[in-house]
Amino acid sequence: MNGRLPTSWRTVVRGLALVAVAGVFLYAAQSKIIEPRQFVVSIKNYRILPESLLHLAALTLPWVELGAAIALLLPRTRRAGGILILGMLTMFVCAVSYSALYQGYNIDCGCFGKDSAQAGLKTIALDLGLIAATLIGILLPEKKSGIIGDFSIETADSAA
Amino acid sequence: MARDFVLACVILVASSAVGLASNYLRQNPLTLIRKDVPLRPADPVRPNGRREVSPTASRPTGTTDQPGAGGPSDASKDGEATLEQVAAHLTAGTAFFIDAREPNEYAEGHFRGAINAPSSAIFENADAVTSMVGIDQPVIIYCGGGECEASHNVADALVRYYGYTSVSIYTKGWEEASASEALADYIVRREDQP
Repeated sequence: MNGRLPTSWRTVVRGLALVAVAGVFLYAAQSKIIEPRQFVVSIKNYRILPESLLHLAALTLPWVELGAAIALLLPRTRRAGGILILGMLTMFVCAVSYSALYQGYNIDCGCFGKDSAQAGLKTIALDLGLIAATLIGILLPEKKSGIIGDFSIETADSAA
Repeated sequence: MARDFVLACVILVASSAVGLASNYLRQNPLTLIRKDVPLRPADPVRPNGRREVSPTASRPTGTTDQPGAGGPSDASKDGEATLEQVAAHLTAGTAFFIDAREPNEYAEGHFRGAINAPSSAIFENADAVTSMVGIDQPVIIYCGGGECEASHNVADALVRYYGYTSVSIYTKGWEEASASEALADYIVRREDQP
């Protein structure tokens, strides 16, 4: 041992951040894919999109969440997935800020289907946490490609 | 970096395409362009159970008529029910009531016989509604009142996706009903239950 940790903390933090963000997005996508009509109601409550676009948004957004989450887990598409996820999270923070905080609508955030919390400061805080985790996941330097990330064990020998 | 943005666009387009394609594999696919579906109000009734133009209108006979035509019941033209209409339906038992609030609010108090179908889980509770209420039977939906959107969401879902033909919204909802003496006999409160 040369005083370094056997596993790089960056690798662990990065891997955990990626898995956490992807997990949240996979979980969020599944209920909306199963019942898009309920997601239509959630989007409608924000009163931002015109009526005519509600179905289109409800049919495509959950699949983009799913696609972005999968892309985030794959090394070759990680940054692209991260860009999509950052875009969706930014859009969501803006929507919650406008509808729940500025307009004062008392609405569910619609994040996880029927288990959704009320839209407000808590959901914005969760989103900002996810944005931070995504940035950590895609910006921390990579050591070696793996399926989920760089989980390779850095031994004293390889580190030397 | 440019490659990542291009790849992000490709994932965006491909995912959206899969989403749209999956829609057509559903039993009841959604239309891509959503159109506004106006509500058709439940016909107002007199306390004796006979339908009429308006429960408060001073017409000589209370026969079946077009809903919301003329008189004070004009408010129901756009699918909204007034306190008087709600009271008349509750008295006559001529409409089904759906409480669109959350289960904990429903447990605190609701109209006697009202079905709880919260807006946050409309489609999970749809079977309970469709098994009890025929699509041509009058339905009045209420929620907390004021800015509450829940009743509008449930009403829209019943009309749009299940084909209900006679749906009204009691817009002032529980806020007005719980304070109204006229409806006191038709309200079940938690403290009243054994």
